[in-house]
Amino acid sequence: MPYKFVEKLTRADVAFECESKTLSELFEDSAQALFEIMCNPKKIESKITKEFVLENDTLEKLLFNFLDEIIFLKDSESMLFNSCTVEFVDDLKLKATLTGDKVSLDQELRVDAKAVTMHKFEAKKTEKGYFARVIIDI
Amino acid sequence: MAFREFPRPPIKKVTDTEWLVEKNYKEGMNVDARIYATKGLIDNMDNAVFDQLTNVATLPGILNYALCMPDGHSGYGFPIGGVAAFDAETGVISPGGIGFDIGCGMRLMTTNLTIKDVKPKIKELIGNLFDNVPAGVGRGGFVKINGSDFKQAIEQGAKWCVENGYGWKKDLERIEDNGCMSGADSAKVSDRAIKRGINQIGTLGSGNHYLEIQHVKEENILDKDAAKKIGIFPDQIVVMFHCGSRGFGHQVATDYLQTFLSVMESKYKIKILDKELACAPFSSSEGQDYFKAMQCGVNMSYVNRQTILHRVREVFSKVFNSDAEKLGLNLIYDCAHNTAKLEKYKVDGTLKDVLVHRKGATRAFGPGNKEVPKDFSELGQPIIIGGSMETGSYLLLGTKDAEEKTFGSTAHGSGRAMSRTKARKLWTGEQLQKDMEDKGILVKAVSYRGLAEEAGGAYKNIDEVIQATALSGISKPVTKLVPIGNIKG
Repeated sequence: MPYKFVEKLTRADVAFECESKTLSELFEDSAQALFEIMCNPKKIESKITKEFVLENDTLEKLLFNFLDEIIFLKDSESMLFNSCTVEFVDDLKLKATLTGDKVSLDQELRVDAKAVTMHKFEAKKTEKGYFARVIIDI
Repeated sequence: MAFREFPRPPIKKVTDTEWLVEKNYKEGMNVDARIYATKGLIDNMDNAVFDQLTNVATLPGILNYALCMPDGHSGYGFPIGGVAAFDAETGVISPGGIGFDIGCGMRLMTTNLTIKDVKPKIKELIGNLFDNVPAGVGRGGFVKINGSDFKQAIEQGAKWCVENGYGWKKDLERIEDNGCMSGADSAKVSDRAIKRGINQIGTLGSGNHYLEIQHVKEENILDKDAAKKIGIFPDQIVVMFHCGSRGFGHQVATDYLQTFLSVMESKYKIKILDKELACAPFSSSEGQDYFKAMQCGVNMSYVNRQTILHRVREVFSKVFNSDAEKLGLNLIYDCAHNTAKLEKYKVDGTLKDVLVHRKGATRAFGPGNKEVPKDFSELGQPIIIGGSMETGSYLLLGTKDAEEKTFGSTAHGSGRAMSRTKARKLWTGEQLQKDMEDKGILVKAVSYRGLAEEAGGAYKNIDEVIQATALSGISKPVTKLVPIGNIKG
């Protein structure tokens, strides 16, 4: 699995790390980990597509904004997702396409993601590809 | 990737329930760190608590001590259970000292029903509450309003609810701040925050948030006189719930954390030891803007809990075929445990304006304090400390000791003892639900996985936390309350 949940990093919340081959995959893997926290993505139907474009001046800030946008869509539009593709149109400018459905009780809901924290937050290029560490406030 | 294990600092015993990490422990500490706990609790606190607390002690303008309450556990920036007071003129304000769920808090309401009245109807009651108080990820509420109404709601707090038919005027006297932090300014919150919160009024959320039907067992009443004055009697059924400002408050905190990170060093030359301690001088424009936005967050939490209270009254009325007033569905108190408030304290002999951050800590004002509702003026401010869904919760009172020792603060919950992953390895939601039903607690949850994560065994012993608050004098227990029904996200 390109992402793993890391138990020892937090007691009350949820932490995950991604080791991904490409920058696009780093964002897609991080999104998938976030989906997994909030629901079972396999139970979410692909009924609605959402697209957004984001850019920022550092990789860390861009990943932060990207995950924050998914949390924003969860609350503002009651959207949960099962898949995500990320395309980089420039060095630090991405276009994301997410598919999913409105929240309902017959989906396998898990816990609410309140916020992306800056605690031990990292997003960086490594020798093998890219690495990210994220702790989500529950 | 390996992490440095935090070392355990030298901890000096002051009394059986007060412990110190002295300010020479870490470079830059302006004050000592002081922990309120029994030996058992402090021995089991994770080392990160001490690291975070001693980081807090380095912040500019901190007064007396960086404080940790008995339910302390590690958080981000500040530990949960952390209290820090800053000089309003020279100190800072930090979103990390308040928490992402601004205004998160507890409500407790009475009924005049007894266990005999409620037990036969518990299934119907829990089913109706589950249908009427939405819980779980991304769920919206029944209040449908536009942006301008929402801005009024977050500026007026619970008063807005009462004016719009959600509750009684007398409820307002029983809410911290009378249900409204008056410095709230909706111009200081982002459209993004408003969009996240506008559909969530009257919703519980998930994680450790819950709504519970509780039983006052006679043997659990610890202060009979105070209980009677508050309206608590043996075998009574009461209702408690725990929730916050939902996506609105989470976004306000996220927005300002980023704002502070961008100006803290470059503009204000403040160096911090952890990004989650991002802060700005309280007197700066950024600090003042956040304080006004944060008050909107606290007000949203009052609005959310007031609307839930209204729904609870509707459900009881329906199930017991009587009106809410006849059923005695009165609010005992609403206290928020993720806040920053301007209060006055004597520091080194001088009365000062002090900004008290409480992150997972409850205000605990003593008898005679003008902020205490007049009905409880002789008793002290009611404090509601929520335990796990299996073990029970407590009603306590604030004390003068708390005002002198902890800037009027006490614990807020039992505090987690293990990670969510570990809890899921030990329990399944389905089995836990069955086991709890066998013990007389009917639970209805949106998520079985979420339920397993909240098992009683995943939390510290609430009785020991309460004992620590009582022994140290920072609160006075009135009664323990045990659950018979629970809904959660």
